[in-house]
Amino acid sequence: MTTTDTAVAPPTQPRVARAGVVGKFLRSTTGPIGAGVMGILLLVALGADLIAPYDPLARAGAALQQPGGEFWFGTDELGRDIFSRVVHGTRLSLQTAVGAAAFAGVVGLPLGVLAGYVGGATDAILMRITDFVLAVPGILFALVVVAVLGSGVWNLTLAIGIGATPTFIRLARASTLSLREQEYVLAARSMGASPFDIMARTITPNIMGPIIVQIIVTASVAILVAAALSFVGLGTPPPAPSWGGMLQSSRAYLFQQVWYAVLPGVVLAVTIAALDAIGRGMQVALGTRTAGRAKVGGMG
Amino acid sequence: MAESSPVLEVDNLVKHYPIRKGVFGREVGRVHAVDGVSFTLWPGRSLGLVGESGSGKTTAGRAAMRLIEPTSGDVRIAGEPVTAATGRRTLARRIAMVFQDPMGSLNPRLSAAANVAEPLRIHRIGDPRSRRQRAVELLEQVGLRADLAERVPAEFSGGQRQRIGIARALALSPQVIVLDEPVSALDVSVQAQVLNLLGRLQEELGVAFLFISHDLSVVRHVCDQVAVMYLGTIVEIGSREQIYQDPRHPYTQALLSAVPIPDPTVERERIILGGDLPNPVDPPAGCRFQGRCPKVQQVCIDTNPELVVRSAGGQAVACHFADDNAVEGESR
Repeated sequence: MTTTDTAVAPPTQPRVARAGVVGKFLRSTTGPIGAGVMGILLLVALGADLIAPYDPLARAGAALQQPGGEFWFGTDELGRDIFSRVVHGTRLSLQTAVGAAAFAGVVGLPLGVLAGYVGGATDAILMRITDFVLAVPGILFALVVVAVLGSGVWNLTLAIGIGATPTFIRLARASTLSLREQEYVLAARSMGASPFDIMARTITPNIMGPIIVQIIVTASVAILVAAALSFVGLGTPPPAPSWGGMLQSSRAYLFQQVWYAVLPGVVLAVTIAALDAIGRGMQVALGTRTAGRAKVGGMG
Repeated sequence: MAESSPVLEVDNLVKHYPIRKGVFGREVGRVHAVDGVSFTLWPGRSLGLVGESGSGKTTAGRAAMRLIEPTSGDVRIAGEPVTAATGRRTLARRIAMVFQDPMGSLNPRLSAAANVAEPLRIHRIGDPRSRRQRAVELLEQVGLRADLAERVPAEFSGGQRQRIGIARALALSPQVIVLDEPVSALDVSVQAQVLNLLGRLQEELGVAFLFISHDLSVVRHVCDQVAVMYLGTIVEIGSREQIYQDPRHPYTQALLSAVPIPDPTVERERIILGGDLPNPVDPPAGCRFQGRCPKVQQVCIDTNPELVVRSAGGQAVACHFADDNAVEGESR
């Protein structure tokens, strides 16, 4: 986790009409590719039961078989079909990604807007809390949360979500600060709008651009962190078919069954790349540019 | 329209901004942005507030409608005193604002109709459908066709955007509209259209305008009353005729002499002012205009001239020599 959050993108170039954003996204180089891949992954996650030829948790044949007609990518050390496990792992990964990003966004966005708009003591307190969370490396933070709450998909998701929240607070705060002095915010005040109304109806919709990009980034970071934690045995407990967990168990059998490691690894990489592509496409579409994503997530 | 009671009375309005320094925020000085401004606005009339940048005209306008909290001073709308407790919601129904930057003052995410309907939504007037309908009516009233209602601000020209801003200001049927440099961001040809629109709306609706501008030609076009501001105070106030035909304050005279006359045969003496606005943190003790006044005397340095009514018509001038200034003030 780096100390900086997103190099603050100027909050949405408001000059772009909404329809224009979608069009620009589709015309960007990476956007449609990423969206296409993610679409497929989403379908895989939703239709895992239909796509997977075997039960991901049950023994289907002999252990450590090579790929073939029966088992497309072979079997693992317990004789479970690797392909089926990866397919079901997609569901698990996307669950974590969506859950963590949604948590961070839903908690971080309003707090950030509040800090930015109200300022003063509220702002100071919220900023010290985010400083505190940001000062602890993301993996370590997630580790502690999982250690306290126990392992499990939802605890893992929560741990990653909490770790990603400060970045949202900072991003929303910075965007709000630059909007606060805009004349249309002043105009809303002159019309008698309450502070809550201004924050919810005027400011929030106008800072959604960078926030959406950040949600995408957080989703990809969440998948990586979940895999990393599962790899060290603190993520989703076995026998759940998590990608990270599969990578971990495959280490011992690299020479007997190389596909055991390759398939989850490749799918993981493709997922991250696809999310990244979407994020970049969105930045192009919104006319904002954020710093490289290595810095952005704050979890990797 | 011509009712006998004023719709907006501003009495001795003051806005100081403290300058804080150091860890403990010790106050080391004060910016005297607005320093005792008083004026009265009548229903269906327009008061022009003119002055150069930094003269405090925008701050005065915003403080008058409590968009910023004045340091002191009284504001009454239709006879009712406005205090911090009045609340913006109540106030917003009586006094609206049109901003200088027509792009920046409209919410870029909302359509023209939605922008105009915002005040109605905020005040929970009607349901979404009737609000939209009202918004479209207002847009037509300011000369925008109904089929443009769904476009976002970015798709309009500057003049059209300002029309949307005006329609929005009209939404709650206010008695007063504060117009802060409403045409200075527009092309000259468009300025005329918007000014004519304002004139027409005032005639139809009887709304009063507080018209803030640095452009004397524009103010002359729309305002019946003109107040000239210098360094946070009004130095001269009077009817349009009084100010433009018979300015008595040397500052007003200098300003008017700088307005171009579209007639090459007219010769006139330009009064060139030296220097800049003094620092509002530390305004001079005597007359605030002393440092730049071509006619400065010892008395100007010693005592600050009061804004005193000089003629039967109610023209008030803050100058020790207002009466002597009369003759050479002809600026036609």
